[in-house]
Formats: sequence, C-alpha cells, structure tokens
Amino acid sequence: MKRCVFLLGCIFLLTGCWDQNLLKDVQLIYTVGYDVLEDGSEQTTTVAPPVDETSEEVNIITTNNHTVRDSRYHVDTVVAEHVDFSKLQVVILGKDLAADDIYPYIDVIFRDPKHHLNARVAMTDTSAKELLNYPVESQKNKSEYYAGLLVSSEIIDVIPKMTLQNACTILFDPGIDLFMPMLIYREELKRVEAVGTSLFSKDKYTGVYMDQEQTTLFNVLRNKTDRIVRLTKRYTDDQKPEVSNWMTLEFKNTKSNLKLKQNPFSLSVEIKMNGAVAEYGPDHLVGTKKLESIEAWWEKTIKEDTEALFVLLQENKSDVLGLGRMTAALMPEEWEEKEWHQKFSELPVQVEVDVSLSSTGIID
Amino acid sequence: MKKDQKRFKKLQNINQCKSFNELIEQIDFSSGNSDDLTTIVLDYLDKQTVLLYYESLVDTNKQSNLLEWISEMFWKTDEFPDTIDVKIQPSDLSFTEAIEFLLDGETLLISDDSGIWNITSIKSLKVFQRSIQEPKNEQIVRGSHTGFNENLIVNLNLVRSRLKSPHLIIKYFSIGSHSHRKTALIYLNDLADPMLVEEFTMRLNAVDVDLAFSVGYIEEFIEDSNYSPFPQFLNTEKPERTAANLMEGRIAFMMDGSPTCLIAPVNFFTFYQSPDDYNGRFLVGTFYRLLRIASFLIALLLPAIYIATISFHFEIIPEDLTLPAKRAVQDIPYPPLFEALILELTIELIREAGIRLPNPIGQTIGIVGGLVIGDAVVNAGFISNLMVIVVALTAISSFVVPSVEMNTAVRILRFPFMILASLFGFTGVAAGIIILIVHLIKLESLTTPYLSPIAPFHVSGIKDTFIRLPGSKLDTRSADAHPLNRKRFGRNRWWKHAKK
Amino acid sequence: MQKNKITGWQLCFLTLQTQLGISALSMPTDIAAEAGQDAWISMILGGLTVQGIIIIYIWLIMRCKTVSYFDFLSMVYGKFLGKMLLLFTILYLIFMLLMVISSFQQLITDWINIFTPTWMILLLLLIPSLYLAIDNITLIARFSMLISFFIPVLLIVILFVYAAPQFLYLLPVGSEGYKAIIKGVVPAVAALSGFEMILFFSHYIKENKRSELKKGLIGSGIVTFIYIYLIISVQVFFYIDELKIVPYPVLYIMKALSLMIIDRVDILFLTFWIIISTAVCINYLFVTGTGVQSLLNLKTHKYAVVAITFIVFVISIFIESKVEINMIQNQLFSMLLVFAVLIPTLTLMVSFLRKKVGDS
Repeated sequence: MKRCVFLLGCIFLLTGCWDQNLLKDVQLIYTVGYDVLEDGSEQTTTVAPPVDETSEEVNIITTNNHTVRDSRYHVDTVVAEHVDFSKLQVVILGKDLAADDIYPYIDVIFRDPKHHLNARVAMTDTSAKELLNYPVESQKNKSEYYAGLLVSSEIIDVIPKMTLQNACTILFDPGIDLFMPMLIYREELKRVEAVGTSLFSKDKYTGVYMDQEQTTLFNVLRNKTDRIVRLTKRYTDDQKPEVSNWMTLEFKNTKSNLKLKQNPFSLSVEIKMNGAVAEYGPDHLVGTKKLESIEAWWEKTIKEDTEALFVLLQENKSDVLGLGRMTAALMPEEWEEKEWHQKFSELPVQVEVDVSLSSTGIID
Repeated sequence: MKKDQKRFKKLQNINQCKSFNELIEQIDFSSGNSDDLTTIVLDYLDKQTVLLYYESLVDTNKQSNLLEWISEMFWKTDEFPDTIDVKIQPSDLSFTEAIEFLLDGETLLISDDSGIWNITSIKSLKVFQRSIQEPKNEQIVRGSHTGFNENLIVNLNLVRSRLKSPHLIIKYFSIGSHSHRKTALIYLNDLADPMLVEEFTMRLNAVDVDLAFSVGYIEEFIEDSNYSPFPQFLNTEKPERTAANLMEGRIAFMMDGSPTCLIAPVNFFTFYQSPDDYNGRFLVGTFYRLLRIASFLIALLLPAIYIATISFHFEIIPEDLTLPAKRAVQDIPYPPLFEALILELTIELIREAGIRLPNPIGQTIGIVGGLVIGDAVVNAGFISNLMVIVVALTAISSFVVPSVEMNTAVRILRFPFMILASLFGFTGVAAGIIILIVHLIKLESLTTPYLSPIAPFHVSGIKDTFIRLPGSKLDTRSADAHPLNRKRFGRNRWWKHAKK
Repeated sequence: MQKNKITGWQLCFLTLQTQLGISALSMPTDIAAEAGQDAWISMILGGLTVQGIIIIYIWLIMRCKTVSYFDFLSMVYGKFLGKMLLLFTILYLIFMLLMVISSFQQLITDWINIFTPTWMILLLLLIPSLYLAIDNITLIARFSMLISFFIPVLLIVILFVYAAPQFLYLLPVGSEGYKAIIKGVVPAVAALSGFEMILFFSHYIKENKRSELKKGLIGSGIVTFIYIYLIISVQVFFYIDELKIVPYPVLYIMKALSLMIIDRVDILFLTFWIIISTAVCINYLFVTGTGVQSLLNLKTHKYAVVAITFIVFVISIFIESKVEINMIQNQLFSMLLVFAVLIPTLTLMVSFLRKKVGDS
C-alpha cells in the first residue's frame, strides 16, 4: 500500500504540466477586427494592449488567410508570445463581412472553450482593418478604447448592448434579426464615434443604420434602457438665442408594450414615459398649463418618430425587435418561418404614446 | 553485579530482612547504589531506626525540621506532630514499592520493633514550580488570564476550583516505565459518555513508553490517526477553557510536568473557537468565527488558486485586472510554483528562526525577513509582487487559527495543494479538496466524527460553530461528545417577556 | 453511532448525489434534441416516472426485510439463477461506472484540461473516489450530505440568467406534439439515472424502514426540481436550435457571465461540480463493491472496490473518442430499463408468487 502511494506520488510529480498556459507567455488580444477580402479570404486584425506600463504602443497585426482559424494561427507565427483571445473585449466586423453571411465567422469564437463570450460586437462602415489602424487620440490605449467607447455609449442609450453570446442566439433564432452598434471614424476629431445601430436582415447587413435618436427609441421599445433616457428636440422656432428653441427631456421610467393583434394581424405599440424637463430656456413651467401642452407635443413627436422607425425597419425587412419570436410563441398559427420577413414588412402598426412630465428638474 | 548476587540473595519484601545491615544493603541494591539515596541510621537504646530518602528530591527545610524533631522527641513519644504528614505502611512492603515511595519524594522511617519492621512514610517532596502565568501561546483579550503550570496538583486545583461539583471525577494514572509520570483523567460523570471514558482509559492503559516527557508526546500514542495532519486532541493551557470543555461532556487529560491539557473528543470547529468569542458581543463573536473559517480556506487554498489562475486559467481574472496581473508576472523567470515555494519557504524559515531566538533578535529577524527580503526579491525580479501579496496574505491567515497545532496542519497542507494546482490547474485543486473532505470525514477524535456538526449534520451544532448565538440561546450541548444530558440550562431571560 | 447504518435523510442525500452528476450539465441538450422546446415538460414526466419506479422499489424493499437486494435475488430465484442475475447486475453497475467516469473525463478534457492525457484525469477522479469507497456506508452518506451544501450556491449562480430571460422561448407550450415529448422522457429518465441506488442502499436503514424510505422519494424529487430549473434556465437563455448544438449548455450560460470580481464563472463552477460529481463515482464504486462482496461471499468489500476501480480505469483508458462515449450513453436507457425497472419489478412479482420468501 505504502509503496503504491509512493509510486503514485512519483507519477504525479514526474508528469509535465500539459495544459499549462502561463499568463506571462500569452499576448492578450483585446480588440479584433474581421474582414472578408475580395477573393473571399479572411483578414484578421488584432490589437493587443501595451505590456509596458510606460508605453502607449499597442500591437496591431493584420494577417489574412482562408478562414478565421487559419488567420489566427498565422498571427501566432508573427508574435513573440502565444495569441490568446480569452480576454477579448470587442469584435469589430468590417462592412463587407457584415454584408456576407456572418455566422461562420462568429461560430469559431463561439465554440472555442477558452473564448470570452461577453465580448461586445460592433461593425464599421469601412473595413475593420482600416478602422483599427486610424490614429486615435485617446487617453486610453487603442486596444481598450473601443470597449470603453461602447460601454459609455450604452449607458446613455444611444447604442444597444450586443455581446457575442447575444449575437449568436439571435443568429440561430429565425424570429429576430441581428443588430449591432455602428462605429464610424471622425477624421476631424481623430476619434471613433458610435453613430447608431446597424440593421441586419436575417444575418446580412442591410446597408442602413438607425441614428442615435432612433436607437434610443429602439431601446425604449425593447425595454432595455439603461439609467436615463434623454431626448432633445427643437420645440419652437422663433426664440432667441437659437439654443432656447431646444428642449431636453430626461425620462427615468420608460415602458413600452408591444402587443400582437389578430384579425387583422397587426401590432399595437404603447409607450409610457415618465420624466422631467431637463433643459428648456425661456419659461417657468411649474403650475402652468404649458406643461400639458408640452406633454401633448412630445407625445405627438415621439409617435411620429416611432412610426418612422417602424417604416425604416419594415422597408429593410429587419425585424430587430423580435416580433417574429413573439408571433411564434404567442400566435403560432400566424408564424411561417420562410415568409416571415415579407409578413413583417406588411405588418400594420399602431402607436400610442403617453408622456407624463412630473417635475422640471432641479431648477424650476 | 554477579559478584553481588552471589554475596547475597535478593529479597522481595522488607520483612524478610533479618538485620538492619541487610535491610540497608537491600535498599541500596534496589536503588542501584545511587549516591543521592541518603541513609541515616539512628541508634538509641534498643530502638534502632533508619531514615531513608533521596536528598535530591526532598525539601531540605522540612527535612532538617524532621531530623531535629526526631533527634529530640522521637524517643519519647510515638505520636508525630501535626505539621508532619505521616502514613503508616504495612510491614510487608516490597522493595520495589519502597523505592517507589522514595522516588515520590517521601522519606521512609524504618524502625525495628522487636523483630517487626515498623515502616512510616513521611511526605517531604520539594516541588519547584513556576508561578501561575498567562500562557504565551493562548493569549486572550478579555476573560481569565490564568494558565496551567507544570504541577499537576496545582493544575487540578485550578480546574476543580472552577467546577465545584461532586460530579467532577479525577482518575490518576502512572505513565512511563521509567518516568512514572503521574497523569490525570478529568471528566464530569453526569455528562461524559461512559463509553468514551472507558475508551480513553483503555488507550491510556495501553501506553507503554519509557519516558513520558510531555503531553504532546503521549498524544501520539492515544490519538486515533497518526498519519493525519490534523490534531485530534485540543491542547489548551487555560483552566477556563478546560472547564468549559468539560461542561460539554468532553474528557480532559493532564500530566505532571506539562502545563498542557489534552481535551477529547473534539471536532474540527473546536480549534476555531476562542474563549474571546464568548466574552464579546455575539455579533462580533460570529463575525470572527466566520473570519477564522475563511482564514482556514484562504491559508489552505489561496496560493493554489493563484497558481492555477496564473498558469492555467487566467481567463477568470476580471477584465480590468488582467493587464496589471500580466505586467506583474511578465518578466519573472520562474514558474509560479517555484515562485510560491521560494517565498513560502522563506516565510517558514523566518518563522522557525525567530521562534527560538530571544525576543529582540526574533523581531529583528522578522523585520529583516519580511521587509528587506520581500522588497529585494521583488526588485530583483525573482518573484512577482502579486505573489508576495498572496503569500503574505496566506501567512497571516494561517496564524489566525487560535490553535497552534491546527495552524501547523494548515501550513503543511497548502503545499500539496500548490503542487496539484501547478500540475492540473483547478481540476487538481478540486481533486485535492475531495481528498481533504474525505479525509476529514474519515477522521475521528476518540471515535467520534471529526467534522461533527456538519457531517453528520446537526442543526443544533451550527449555532456554536460557524456562528455564535447569544449565550442564552446556547441551551444545548454539542452532540459530538455524546453528553449524557444535552440540555445545558433552562429558560433564561424570561423576565423579558414577563414584563409585558 | 453505529457503523454501517444510515438514516432516512442520509438515504435521501445518497440518492440525490448519485442522480446529480455530470449529466446535469449536458442533459438539456440531450432532451432538447428529442423534445425541442418542450424539453422541460419531458423532464417533469421523467421525474414522475422515476418517482413511480421508486415506489415499486419501496414495495420490494419492504419484502426484503433486513436482507440486501443482492442477497434477496438469490432468495427469490434460487441460488444459481440469483447469482447469475447478481453477476449481470454487477456488470450493469460497472457499465454505469464506466459511463459516469468517461463522460466526466470527457467534460474535463473538453472544458479545462485539453491536453492532459486521459489516464491522468481518470486517476485524478478515481483515486479520491477509491479513498472513500473502501470505507463504510455511514461515511459515504456523510460525504454525500456534506457536499450537498454546495448545490444551493451553484443554483444561485444560475439565477443570473434571469437578468434578461426570454420566456417567449418556452411558448407555445406543447408545440412539439406529445410524441416528441414522450420521446424526450427517454433521455430525461437516463439523466435521472442513479435512482436505482435506493434499491442498494436501503437495507442499511435499520429503523422505521417504511417512513424513512419515503425520504428517498424526496431526494429524487429534489433532483427533478433542480433539473427542471436548469432546463428552464437554459431554455430561456438559448434559442432551441442553438441549444441543440451546445454540448454543455449550463456551462455555456456561465461562460457568458461576467461578474465584477471574477470572470468566466464556468471554470469555478466546474471545479465545484467536479467535487459534487465525485459522489456519483464513490456511490457506484461502493455499491458495485458490495455486489461483488455478496457474489463471492467476501468478508469486506474493500478489495473488491480496489479491483473494480482498476478494471474501470483500464477500460476507460481505451474509451477515447466522443463517439464511443455517445455509443455507451445511447445504451444507457435500455440498460436502465432492464436492470432498474424490469428486474426489480419481476423480482417483486416472483416474490409474491413464492409467498414464503419475504413473508417469513
């Protein structure tokens, strides 16, 4: 018995460390961009953070090869360490790739047991390689810049949160279409801006994206708003100075209710918003009847915007709200997977908006 | 020797001796002609008397008083004065017994009363003893600071004066074929399980050693499992703690010459209880209980988890910490296991070096070791500063345990965990944890399960293990020692409700 | 405390721990492959089926009196036939062990220790199991009970799914049709395998047999509830087509989880799950050992357990590919049907026919 234990001990100690993966021996990739080239080959751009605290230099490598996996192995052959995607923060898809079938590219990431599924997905209107190679004037190094940019924009509801895991679920589900933040480089600022939400039909980019205001509304419709929803509109035309014409509302509570109706098959949308006037120059609003008229004006405007948003979605056959999923679950008799996009584009939508302004912010 | 044997026949009993000379010769022979065995022969008329004692054992003051009294009064009266503790022994006392008396520090007074030996033993032992101090390794903030010393009788006095109950039973044993150390088994016969008392007695009777030099040494002869790193007896030097444990139905064991008291049966969580817990507010007591349990886990697993993380699964490091962690380990030449081993061993060395040195030097070693080596080793790039944090935290955690033996157990156990972690990552740690749990489940302390309130599970046991409820709620004794009466006391604080 | 004796609650946790193994992590995929989005209904039906089977067991065990199931077989069928049946039951138990061990090893290989050789992982699993399985049932029951404390913690981690659940994925209820749901019961019952342990463990209960045995039902019931909870959690997270391709959906959920203090909860979760799942190996090893002890009339089951561990170790080294493991898993249900349902039922009926057995 004792000899047995001793032998086992030896076996344990003599064996190597097969799976050892030392933190010091890896190159962590924080941001990765995927493109598809004209010949159909895949191009990967990886951005690794600087290891030395004092330097700001990030490590950008672009390789292209037949598949995502190939390119990845290729990156490995040109860096000193072992490339590791387990701490990935952002995946950026080039425009061409997004217009293609994107599942095969995401699949690799999804199946790898070491991969980080919480990485955010975004796309750009150029190629990812170009975007990642633009100079960015940021306090953060470029590898972490994109993640920070997306997170801070999500908080003010101008883009939706989209992680790899969410994207994958959406790609599998025929009842909802993919959407993701759109990043565009602003040359004058030397910075990247999250301009809105790109719309996909099935898993192909439609070429259209919702702007920031529409995305806010979109988030309200999904009931996925973070903290405060802020809307700014031109309320009057005749005030001086110009800035007084604009009114900003901040909504703490927003609730939308999407309901499918039968005979005829249609959608009714109810939006309830509770908030306050955050900024409006000219008047004292408390206790006056003006507040009611402001509410009425906003209700009308938001209703028009929502209807316009639905028109945009239906024109592009992009069911990003997951109405198909609702139909399949609640009215299975109306659900037909193949014809759904057609049906969606013809779906009548009634919108009702209820805005109530309870206070006027800190100052009257 | 052979010559001696030829010269005279060895006798068994004193009354077989014919003459005084023979008697003295026999005694001398039985004691091995030890030079400190003093023989004083007093001749007065027909009353021949011999006085025997070990001069190294007796109290010289008492002895000179005795001699004075004998030389003046002994011939006149048979009555001994009250100041002298005398016992008349039977005349057929054997030589072995006589030597035993002498070794107990008694003086034998043997007189010849017309052919019959009159034997009287007089207590004259000189005991050198330490004053009663607070035990250094069991210091507490509040509560009694009394500690045991090396004298068994004093220690028993300390216990009995705290538990003035006729149910407190003390049984004496003698251990050691050469040392004949007096030991005592202490229990409350209305609480302690007779089966356990019997088991303990059996184990003590089975001890066969030459010299019983300390309780810790005897512990290895009577514990359930020798190969376990975990202590199966609670060591304490505090009478207060001993009394409290006796009230749980446990059995205590003490030995002359050792200030330590062994208590059994105990469970794992006993080692994480400190008398201080009961002297403070119950919330504070509970918090520190939980903190100590957490310290056990940290001391055991933190280096292993760190090694597994850095060398296998750095994915689990949160996003914002990854880069600082990577920067810390970037230029370290050694694999994490060696880093950890170097640092852990350094700490063990510092501890071992400091422990036996006089206090001022010990402190200096601690400072040199802790500050200078720690700082230099990081600057030199041998070891990452993260590893220094981990090892330091582990070291501090391991010293939180209020019991020295458990502390050593934990310090030893983290090494296998570190090796497993460096070989297999978290899978190895998991395998190690399973083996540890299985071992703790298999382990017994005086035949009772070691992990008692949780395996087997007793809800009532939880209220004084992980947490400590207010004293009035602790109305049942823990079940692991099988006390004959689980109920500790009746309803308290009834006035709280009566007032309404 | 008497050795070799368990209480009703210990039986409950023994059953619970034997059922709750590695299959908990992969079972939603297997069931969803048959029953689609109504997988959770199949699970409920599977749980009820198992409860029914356990009631038959209790009936049978009450006839066994103090004799173990293994010995009861020879009492009912006569010495030769009984021993043959016992031998087959032991083979079945070894088969179960093989399946448990190799799917366990497969999970670890797939998920965290990709390059560590099979035999090494097997050793890591088998040595701790062996260490406990050679000991008596009381200690094994205590182990099962102790590690059950981890389960609530793990279930709470999964609550994070409900930050953004898609309950629409469960609707419409019953859309897959009753045929698919019934088909889904097969993998559901297979995932619940381990309930047959009640048969083997119950003769260690010495007092109040009838009422204590009912606690076995509770154990199996808890597992059913945990599984239903897991399936629903998985279903509101994944779209059904995605669920079908994800091998360990419960782990995938946690992989997508990111907490402030720790990323990739799945790795820590798996570490705990390894600890919990070892109980399955321990319980099967012990039962197989006592089976062999009964077959060969050995004094203790200790050496039998050592031998079985060695056999299992050697055989599972050769089970390497996933295909082979799947092949074994596919046989599971039919084996379960024969050894956990048909034979006990038959034994019960025969024991009624041969009245003197059990009545005396």
